[in-house]
Amino acid sequence: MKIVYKALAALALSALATTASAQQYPEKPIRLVIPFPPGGGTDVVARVIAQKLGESTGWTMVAENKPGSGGSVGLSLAGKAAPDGYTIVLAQNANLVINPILGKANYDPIKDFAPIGLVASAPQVLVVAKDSPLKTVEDLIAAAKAKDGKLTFASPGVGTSSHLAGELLQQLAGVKFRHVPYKGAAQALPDLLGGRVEIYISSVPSAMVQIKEGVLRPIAVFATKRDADLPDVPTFEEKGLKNSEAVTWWGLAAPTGVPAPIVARINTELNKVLQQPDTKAKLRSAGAEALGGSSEEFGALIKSDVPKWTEVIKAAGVKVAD
Amino acid sequence: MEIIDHFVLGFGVALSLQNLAYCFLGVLLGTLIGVLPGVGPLVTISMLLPITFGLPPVSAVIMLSGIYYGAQYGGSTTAILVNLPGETSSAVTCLDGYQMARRGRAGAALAIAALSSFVAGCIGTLLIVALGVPLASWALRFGAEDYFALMVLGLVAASVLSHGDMVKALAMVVVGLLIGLVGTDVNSGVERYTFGLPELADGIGFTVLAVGIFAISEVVINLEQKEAREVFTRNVGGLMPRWEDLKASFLPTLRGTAIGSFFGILPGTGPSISSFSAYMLEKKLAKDPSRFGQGAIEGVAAPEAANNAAAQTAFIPTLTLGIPGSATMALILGALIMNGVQPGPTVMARNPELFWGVIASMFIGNALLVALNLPLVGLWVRLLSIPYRWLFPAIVMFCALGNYSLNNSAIDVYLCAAIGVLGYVLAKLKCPPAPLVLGYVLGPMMEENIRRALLLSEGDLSVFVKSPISLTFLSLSLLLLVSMALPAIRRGKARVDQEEEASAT
Amino acid sequence: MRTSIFKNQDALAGLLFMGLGALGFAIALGYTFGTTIDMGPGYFPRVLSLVLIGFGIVIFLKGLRSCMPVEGGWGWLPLALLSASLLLFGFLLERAGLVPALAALFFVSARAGHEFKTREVLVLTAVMSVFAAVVFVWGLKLPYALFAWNF
Repeated sequence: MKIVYKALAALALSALATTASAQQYPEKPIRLVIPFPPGGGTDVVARVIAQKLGESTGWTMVAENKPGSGGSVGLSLAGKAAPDGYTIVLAQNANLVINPILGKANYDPIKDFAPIGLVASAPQVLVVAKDSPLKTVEDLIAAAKAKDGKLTFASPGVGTSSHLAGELLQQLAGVKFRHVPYKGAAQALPDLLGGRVEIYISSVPSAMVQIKEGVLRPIAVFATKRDADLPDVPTFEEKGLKNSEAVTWWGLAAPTGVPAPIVARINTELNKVLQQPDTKAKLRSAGAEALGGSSEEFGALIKSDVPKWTEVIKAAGVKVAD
Repeated sequence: MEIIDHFVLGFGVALSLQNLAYCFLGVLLGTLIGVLPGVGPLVTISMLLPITFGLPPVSAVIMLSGIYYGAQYGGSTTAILVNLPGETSSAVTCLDGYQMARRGRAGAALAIAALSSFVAGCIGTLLIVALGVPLASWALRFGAEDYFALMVLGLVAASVLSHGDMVKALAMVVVGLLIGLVGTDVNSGVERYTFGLPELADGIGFTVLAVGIFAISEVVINLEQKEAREVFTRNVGGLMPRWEDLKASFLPTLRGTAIGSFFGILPGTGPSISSFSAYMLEKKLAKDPSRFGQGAIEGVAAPEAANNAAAQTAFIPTLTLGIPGSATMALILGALIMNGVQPGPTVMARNPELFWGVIASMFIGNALLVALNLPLVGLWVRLLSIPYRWLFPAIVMFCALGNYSLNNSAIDVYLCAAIGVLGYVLAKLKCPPAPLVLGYVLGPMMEENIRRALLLSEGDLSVFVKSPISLTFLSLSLLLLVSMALPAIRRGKARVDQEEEASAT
Repeated sequence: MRTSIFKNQDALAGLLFMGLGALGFAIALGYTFGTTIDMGPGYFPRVLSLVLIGFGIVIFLKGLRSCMPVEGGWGWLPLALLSASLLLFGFLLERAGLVPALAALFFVSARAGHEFKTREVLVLTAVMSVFAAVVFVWGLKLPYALFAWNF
């Protein structure tokens, strides 16, 4: 109760404080915007980071869920916040990079946000039902060619990372699937297990349960190296499909204009926290791999992701606005 | 008997002092947050999830499950007392529960809601034990065409929700269907009716709609007269249900349980559809359907049984297939995994202590809920003796805070105000609200599934009759239509005759 | 017996449905229609809007025949006050904090009642603010400031 009271007093004062220098930072609670509802993967990653940052630095981190429109609502809000370092957001490539390309967001990933640091990532994986005749990447490509555009590919929604990974795969392998979008895994998995659709692409964490149980068979992951949880599953790179990386990444960002020393300060603390075995284990249990690195590296990743996905989306003709 | 050994094992686990305490804590929290509109098990469980890491896995899952099914008990309380649905699944309970409260029978309604929930919860749990695995694989046979046919049956049945003017009820269903279309279209990704607001991209929330349509418009109706009028009768009957009430509720509770169990197993359908279906079935079966909407006790017993059964059987696909049917179930699944438990068809063999312990805790939890809720009835009923001029601003406060807490967004509060205005105007024009809410619930699933069915069948319309499940539902719909049309035609003719007579005199 | 259209329950309902249908149809013109076999995002909205307009016409015509007047008066004032209290609450919660937002909500909405006593509303505001702070901010840990100044 005392902490809450202090936090509230500090919040009330916040309007008076205008600029903050890195030495005194932070003078008040830091708001971490989570652009997804409670309970999802992003929420877990954000809460782990908020808790660990708070424990290791003594900062008061206030996690705030601002869900909506695949993350666009929360990012748009954070992008417009005062650039004083007291509002940061846990962004994901899907909402920071892809939503603006699809026209689902009114912000620019490069101009409107200052990258702080990469937090974690999880690759996409292509799965089939356990009794599917498809066993390898070669089987899949041969079947797609034989079915001539009729092989059904389920995704958890139009314009999601999983859907775009599927589009990327089609372009690299020179095949065509019939895309069947679903609202999410809960709707898509019964159809996959019931044999009504043939393949499904999902992030590794949301398919892990079924893979471990043997209900789903992973064919390959969209990553440069094999996933620690799925050591026997090849990558599409190994199968000769270059540049087939499609991961979900999470990173901390702030609105543009945040003083550089504050960005550097948060980045240093973030990297410390990401080195802790307990943080790594907690992220691992959510299916994500702890990463870290400098804010410049994170900025470079965003800059390289924008043209990559713009091209995939253009080539695939994915449109969400009519 | 193997099953007895399992139960001995399960109750051995669940009856340990620690697990009993967590079970009680879970159902208590569940009841409390169930009463608050907007605030549901989703936010509570996600908040408590980190705390459970320090607990043994069994205790953690027992507590989190308790919150989930406990919320279904609490949700009916405000629905009955002030027409404010505490959980999405209790919107249907408003229809007759609130009318009972206005007639001084709030106590009976609350008690019946608790008792029918208890019966349904226990039967639902038994179903998980006895038929969990076969039921889950049976649910996998439902394809897009079958879901579509099921929604058609729901819409046809919606006509029984009207009292009086059938055309108005149908028009309200269509308004609901249109409101349900707001948001991102699943099949194309296009945003519809969002007016460029990203906050609308995920659609208008059920809570926003139900609170606006039921609670806000009801408050305005109570305030519109120049003179203060009595909202609740002063003549409060007994707190507990009478013997006739129990007798009248017995079969509806069982039928509601059956319907709820069915929908709970189907991933993605949710408890709101099950409580609506149970209500419509009771009204269809009733000898005197006109009592519904006027405080019929069956109209409380059946939907409350249905949503509790659905909450319980929703554990079947989650535990046996690892497929969560709702966001809250996904959270419980996540809790299992983080606690080192791997759900799936072999969960019973691999983690017998956990599986049977949690199952046994559900029986205990449901019993605790009744023990907790029946004594609370008296307290709740006393709330109604608070002067209305204090009560209604508090109702408005719960609407505001509940809607805000959904997405931490003021847009939901503004939307609720707008829907309140629409709801009030429609209520004054004698347009029934329930068909609108049903249309909203069924519409998006209906469109999504017919388009998916045609995409998968390459545009072959015959899928709808080739699938035996779909064919059954469509035939039932047709039968229902014919059975309604025949008496309506006869009545219509009788009315024309009467009018002719009247104009002749 | 003749009832003015503006007091005629069914005629008004019919007009409302026609209006909603027309609005829905007009907006849906922006979405691809497709065909029955390959429906676009505009198929359902347009078909449903037309059906709604159709029902609206039927109800309107029925209203002209039955002439059922609207029962009781319209409570525009309480409706406006309650809506305004919700709008104020949403506006103030993020800018001024929970307690001022609740105070505004109670003072505006309570005006809709038949009796308004400043002292009672003050007590109500105080009691419910404590309740909301305990349940939502302290209990459910929702990130709302009790007082703030973010205009």
